[in-house]
Amino acid sequence: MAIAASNPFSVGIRVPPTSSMPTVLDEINTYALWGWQTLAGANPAYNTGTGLTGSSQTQDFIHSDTEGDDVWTNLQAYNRRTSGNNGYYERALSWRNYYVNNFEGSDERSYDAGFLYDHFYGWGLVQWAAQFSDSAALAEAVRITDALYGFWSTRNGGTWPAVGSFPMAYYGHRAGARNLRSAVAVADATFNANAIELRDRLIDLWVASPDWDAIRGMYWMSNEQMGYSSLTGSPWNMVYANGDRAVSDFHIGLLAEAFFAAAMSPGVTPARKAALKSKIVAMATWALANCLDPVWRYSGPYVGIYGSDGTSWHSQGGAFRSQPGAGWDGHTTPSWVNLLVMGYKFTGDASFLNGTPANGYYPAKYVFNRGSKSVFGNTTARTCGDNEVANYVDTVILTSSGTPTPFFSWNKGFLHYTYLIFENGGAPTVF
Amino acid sequence: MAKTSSGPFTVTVGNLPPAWQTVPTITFAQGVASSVSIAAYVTDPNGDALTITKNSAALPAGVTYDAHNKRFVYDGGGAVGITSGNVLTADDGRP
Repeated sequence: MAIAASNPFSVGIRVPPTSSMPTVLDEINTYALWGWQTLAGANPAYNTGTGLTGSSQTQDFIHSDTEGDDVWTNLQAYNRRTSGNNGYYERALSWRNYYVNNFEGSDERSYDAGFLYDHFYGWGLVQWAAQFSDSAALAEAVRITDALYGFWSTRNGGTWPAVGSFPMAYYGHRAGARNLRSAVAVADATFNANAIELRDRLIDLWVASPDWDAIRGMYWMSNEQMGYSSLTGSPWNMVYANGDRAVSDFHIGLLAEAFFAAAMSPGVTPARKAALKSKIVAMATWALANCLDPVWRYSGPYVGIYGSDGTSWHSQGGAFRSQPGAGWDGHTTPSWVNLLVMGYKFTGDASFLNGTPANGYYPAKYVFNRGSKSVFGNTTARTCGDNEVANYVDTVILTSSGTPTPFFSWNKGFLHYTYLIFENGGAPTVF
Repeated sequence: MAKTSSGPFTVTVGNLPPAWQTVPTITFAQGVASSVSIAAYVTDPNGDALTITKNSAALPAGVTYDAHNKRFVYDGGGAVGITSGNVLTADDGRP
């Protein structure tokens, strides 16, 4: 008989994909709980993702906006709604098609690989695959993680970086954060051996990273990266040798999300979970006291400390801009919200979540209120009042031409950084 | 030059064995009864019908291999777990 044997393979039962993603109804109930009034047009119907077919998403270069996993983001927006949401589905599908059909071998893939794979995603493909039984999407997620495995396993002279001496935040946090988030998702869904090893090694590297400041409870970028970010020049004049430190606030949002996903993963050991939770609580504690500028009550693209006295500074804070309206942008302020909510979820300390704000005390609800209503180029204008809602966190904006523009395409994704505050209609679960 | 040609003749290709693609890890979601077909991972170059059997490697509790329908079946009751070393053999029934 002509016979042939397959390769040896594994068969497994995994924890079903769970989504703690609150729905729009949760968001509505949260605003009601807070006594906020929703303004007209806050959540317009988005029925058609015009022009988003095939590989058209190549025009949305992954290395720039939206600074998020576009399959994931659009899929959440679709799932969070029960009507007027087909445009989000079409956008998610278009991105899925781009990844499955165009991403491998593309110029932009190569380009981003040259930047430490810092815009490689995949967790959206994993969720899409589970939701729509799409094996091709899952296979692409595995390919992405395999590429990340190849990168990290040879990064230090042909082998893995050494735990304890490799500074994970040297060039900023997003590469190591996103790579960990991808590995967690693929490992959870497939038991893929490379994904599991990558996940665990990245956790260990992060936990023991020398750029962790155990006194403040924060990961800081390197002197070189402060230079690349123009923070060593005027008007900031940060001096690393003097103890000045900096971090991108949305990078911390990404890192918190990655740590949270890993801490929730059924495949991660209890010791690693405990280490990650400890880091999350420490970062949330620092954020609670320091994340906003005390004058403008916004964060900035960069936040840090002065080495001289350890007090915080903000790159778009009052002391640094003679003309604060020029190029001023508060859209990264919500990056701290989920981290603060995680602090609450892991400790039960409601001061992370709510409370009367003050200088040196910026709880999650207040940070959300400040950041979600900022206006580009204007430190004082607001999209609406403190007790109002001008737009839901992942909605579309209807422009004057009537063309729907996804909100998250220019604000870097409020949903990704804020969704935990809407759990159970504004009453997040404490672990 | 004078040319001659043969009469029509038939080229007989010998029976070829089935060809496998790489079988990935087969996963089920705990608590969700479902099945995963493996038929797409193997083809027969001659188009013969294939019988696919599985080796004796253990499967997670609640998972069985359904040779008749060429699929793995999960009853939804088994706990989280994974087994390795599963190998399928395809037989086209011809020498």
